[in-house]
Amino acid sequence: MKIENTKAQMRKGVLEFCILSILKNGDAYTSEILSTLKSAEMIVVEGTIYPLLTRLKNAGLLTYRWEESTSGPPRKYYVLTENGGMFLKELSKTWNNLVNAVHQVTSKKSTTNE
Amino acid sequence: MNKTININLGGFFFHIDEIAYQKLRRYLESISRSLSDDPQGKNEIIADIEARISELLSEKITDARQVVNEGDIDDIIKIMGQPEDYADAEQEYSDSSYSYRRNSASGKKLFRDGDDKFLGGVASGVAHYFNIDTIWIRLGLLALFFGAGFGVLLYIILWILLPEAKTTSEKLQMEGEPVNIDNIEKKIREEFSNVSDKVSVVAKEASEKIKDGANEFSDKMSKTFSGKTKKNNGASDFLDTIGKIILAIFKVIGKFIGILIIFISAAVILSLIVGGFSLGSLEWLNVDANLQYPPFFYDSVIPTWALTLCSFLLIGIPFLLLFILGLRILSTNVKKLSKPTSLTLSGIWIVSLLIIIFTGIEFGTSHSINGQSSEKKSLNIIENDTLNLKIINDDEIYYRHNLRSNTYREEVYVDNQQMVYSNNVNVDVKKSNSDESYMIILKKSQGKNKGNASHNAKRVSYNYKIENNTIILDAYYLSSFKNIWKDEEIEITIYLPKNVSIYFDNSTKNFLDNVKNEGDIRDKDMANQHFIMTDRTLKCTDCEIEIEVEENTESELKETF
Repeated sequence: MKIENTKAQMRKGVLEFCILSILKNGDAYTSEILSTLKSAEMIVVEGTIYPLLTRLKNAGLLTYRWEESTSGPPRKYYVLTENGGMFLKELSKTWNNLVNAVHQVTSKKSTTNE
Repeated sequence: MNKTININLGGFFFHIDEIAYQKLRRYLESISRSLSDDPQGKNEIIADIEARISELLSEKITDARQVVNEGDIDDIIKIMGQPEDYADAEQEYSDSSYSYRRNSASGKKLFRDGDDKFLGGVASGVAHYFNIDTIWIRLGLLALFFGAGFGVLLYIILWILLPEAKTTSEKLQMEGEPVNIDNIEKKIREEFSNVSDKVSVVAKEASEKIKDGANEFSDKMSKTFSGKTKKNNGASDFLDTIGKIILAIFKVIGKFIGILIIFISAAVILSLIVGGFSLGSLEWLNVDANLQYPPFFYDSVIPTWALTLCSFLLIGIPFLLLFILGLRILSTNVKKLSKPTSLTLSGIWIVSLLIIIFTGIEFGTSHSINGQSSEKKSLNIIENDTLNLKIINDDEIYYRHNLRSNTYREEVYVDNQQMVYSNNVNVDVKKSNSDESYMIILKKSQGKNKGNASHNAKRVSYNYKIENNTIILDAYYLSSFKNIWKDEEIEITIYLPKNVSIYFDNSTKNFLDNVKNEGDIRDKDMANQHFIMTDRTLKCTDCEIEIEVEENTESELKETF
């Protein structure tokens, strides 16, 4: 068991949730999503995001529109769909539960250790 | 200097040099390969990725005339991640999602484990693969090494061929799932689709290359015959197909040749190593294994071990290069030898070659000049005396002889010293010009010049005894072992005045060399007979009758025919 593997697995599990959360705050194009995730250290390499975005789009959780750009070709802006909003709500509920649960488990452990 | 290519990447225009272009193309191809089989999603992802890469590149390339180089692409790959990372991202959702992906069947793969390594992490990688403890693999390799020397080679091959597990997914794949029937089946299916992927990629590359070639050709054609500019599509399609087929065949033949080269060169290198080891240890342990070195090994200023080493390198280095060539044919992982390495190797090879050439010339010259040394011995024999001539061998030195003059040279040990033993001894009897009886012992040898040759001749050891009227000659001479390839010889000539008799003992039979006598009796028939020196030559005193009888039988035989 390698610590890097476990860390990567943990991060990956919530990546979907993070992407949807970013889009909740407003439409974004890929580079914006990437820079947000990277600054939060949610991803190490950018490549991982693309299959994920396509998958979410295919599942109907997001969609995109093309927007003209001042510099270069049009950009793809991702938009959260209605479905996506509901999905996100579910996910944040689960996330909060998860955080609580983990907190409960880890803090209990530390008290017994003491 | 590099050719540049103009590309349109995600709507941006780039000058990119050829190497960088190839790298980028391969990168995108391998991403596309590592993604799921759903073609629409795949194309979309690739388009997005291309757009992102173009964005990153245009941040780097500020001047429109600047060319994208390999380093830029490396940076991009660093930012975007390895192809495995893309697959990794997909993998997570494979169970809940709609499409089946072959990457979800994370079969085990053989990698080197860089985290748990002794040398290259080969053993631990193999251990992960078979799900056993690393120590057993290491012990096995050690046993193979000491058993047959094969372990080293196996290890090196695996080291070169196996990639090191670097990314997370590779490490996961390395540790993988336990081996069971289900997984084995998956694995086989996976390998099969891998192979078919590879074949199609190869075919695509080939067709592109041929197309490029065809385009270039047609461009040139259209330049020369500036009328026609339209390309013949049918022809290029046909060329594509032919190209694919030819390339596939060459690929297969190439791999086969690669395997053959590896096997042959490995066998030669192994046998050289084993041979070298055993030769060296035999020499070192002073075992008399009847080793036969090439002739020029013996009388050289360069020691035998150095010559052995040189011949070893002379043969070994080319085969080592062949071995690496074979590996490179089989696997693209294997890098070219670095310049210093190849320079060193060729340097060593040339030095060995020069040394061998030098000893070859040395050998040639050390035999070029004949030399001799003679010794005169007076014999206390007067008129009417009879001289007895005998030849004896020392069986303690060498017993497998048949008392016969011949030019064979044998290796013997005298007082623990390696010597050459030979029966190349010839005896002649001639008329003395004076009243004196005497014997001349002529030793012949070879050397690089007159002085050296006669020095060598003097060093040849030959013994005889004189007891009363009997001369007892040795049937052999001894010489130092380094002269085993030199033509050395002992010539004994006995000079007798008139009216002195000589008796040839039976032992002299095969050593007499053209002794002139009245009646031309053959050397062989002169043994056991008495001869007397006349005015000119020897004359038999007691063999006339026998010889006549012999002649009679001969004539009788003739009549019967």
